[in-house]
Amino acid sequence: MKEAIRPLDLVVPDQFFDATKRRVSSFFGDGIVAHVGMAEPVCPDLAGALEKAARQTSATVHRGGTYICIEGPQFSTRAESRIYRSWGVDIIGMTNMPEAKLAREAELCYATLALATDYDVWHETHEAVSVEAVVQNLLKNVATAKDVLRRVIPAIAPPRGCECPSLLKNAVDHQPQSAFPAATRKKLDSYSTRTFRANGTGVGGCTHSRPPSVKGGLTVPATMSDLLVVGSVALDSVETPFGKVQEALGGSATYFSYSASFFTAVHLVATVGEDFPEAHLKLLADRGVDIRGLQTSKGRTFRWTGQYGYDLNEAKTLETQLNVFAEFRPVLNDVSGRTPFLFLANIDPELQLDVLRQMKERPKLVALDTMNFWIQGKREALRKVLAEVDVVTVNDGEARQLASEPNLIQRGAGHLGDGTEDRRRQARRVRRAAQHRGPALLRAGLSAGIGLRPDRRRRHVRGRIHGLPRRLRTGSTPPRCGARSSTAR
Amino acid sequence: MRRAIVYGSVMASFTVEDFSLKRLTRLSPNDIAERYTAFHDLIRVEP
Repeated sequence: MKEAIRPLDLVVPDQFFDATKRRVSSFFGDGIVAHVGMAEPVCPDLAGALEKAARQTSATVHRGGTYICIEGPQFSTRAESRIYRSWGVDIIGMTNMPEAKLAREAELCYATLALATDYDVWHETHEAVSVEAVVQNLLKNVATAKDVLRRVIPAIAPPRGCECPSLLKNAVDHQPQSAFPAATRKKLDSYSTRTFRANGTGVGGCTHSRPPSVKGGLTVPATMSDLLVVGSVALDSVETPFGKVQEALGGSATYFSYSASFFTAVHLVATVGEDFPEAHLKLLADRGVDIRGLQTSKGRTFRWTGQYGYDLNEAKTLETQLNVFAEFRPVLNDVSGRTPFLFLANIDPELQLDVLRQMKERPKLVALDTMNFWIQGKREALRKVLAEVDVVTVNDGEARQLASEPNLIQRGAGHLGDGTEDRRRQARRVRRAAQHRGPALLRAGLSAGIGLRPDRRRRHVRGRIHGLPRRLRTGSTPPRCGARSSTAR
Repeated sequence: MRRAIVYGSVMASFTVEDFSLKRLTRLSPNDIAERYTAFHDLIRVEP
């Protein structure tokens, strides 16, 4: 409702105007009346935590402002919109009332993170936005919201120092509790945390607890933190002896970010064309992948057509249409440029190096994926970027191609370069990797992994892993679309 | 780091069970934990 609050901006409002008409707005009634104070409808502590978390994202954040909640489901008429503006409101929505009132009645700490999608209808000079643009903003906002939640939840913990736990203290109709109807007391028992419990012992309010260190059954290392992935998002047509798909969602960064989202917060930087289906964006956003760095460029999305035989390690490229990818230059902002973990998914090594150069701080760990195409065609650029990363993933054939050395054990024990790297420089890099996370590592496909522990010059060789996965042969993914990024072939 | 490599292979093993992200979209954290255990059992060799 204000010019200064632009689409994709975040607002942490401190006031509400209830313009709803047909919503139940109190837990009370039926013999018990409560007049809870609404002068300050927002918990200052929770709002502060939300603001702090929101400012860690790349979005513009506005603290304070009035949210008007309309009944909907229709949007405002232009006349209504103008009148609301004349009242001085900042944002408009259909969500926050009466929940803000109910939260006060339940003595909950309450705050709102509002995510702007568009200007309301009052804005006549703002060029009309398409439905597609609004939907895209909506999806990006969902990703932002999840990002903020991930940051704010660990920061919220008891005890509560605010006044929220005692909001009902003097709010209730002055008559003895014994006079309250039993049925009403019982009903309130499930809503309220104090005062009305039928057993008379309800004390305290809601409490916040830290999230468990286990993410849905997976043990996530305590040190795991935000991860930035830069790579391709594509539409792939793939044929294997077991089936085929046309223009399915693929791309090295797609596979990697979706897989990694099971373990940590993932920020994706890539590009797609205007023809990229919204359902695909939603798929990533629903998984919590931050897609704000996914640029929609004018033109068609990158397409790859390929074929696999029974050996899923070898893809045969039938056609590559770079489309918007041809002009792609990843751009990192202040926030993504400081992400502590970086994965350079399988793209042109020049772009990988460019991304690395844009990092404001050297990440704790940089991993890189590449393929035979780049090893052959951009060897020099690849050599440069390899000199600056900690982990490389390649399959057996690519390792040999990269090393110009048929013996992978010798290559692993030496270094990950191509034989031209200065010995001292190589030792420094390996030591640095060792300081960060232990072994520098060369992964060689599903069939073998070779790790190097530089401090002891000890080699670890994993044998062939036959029989896993059980249904490996039912399908596959093309090399550029990042089965390799999640270390499959 | 070794755990990360195994988790990576676990995720890849799900990925190649179907085209595109189809298998991953049906994946639960429990599935991942179970396969991680299976993988671990498979590659462990008693001395």
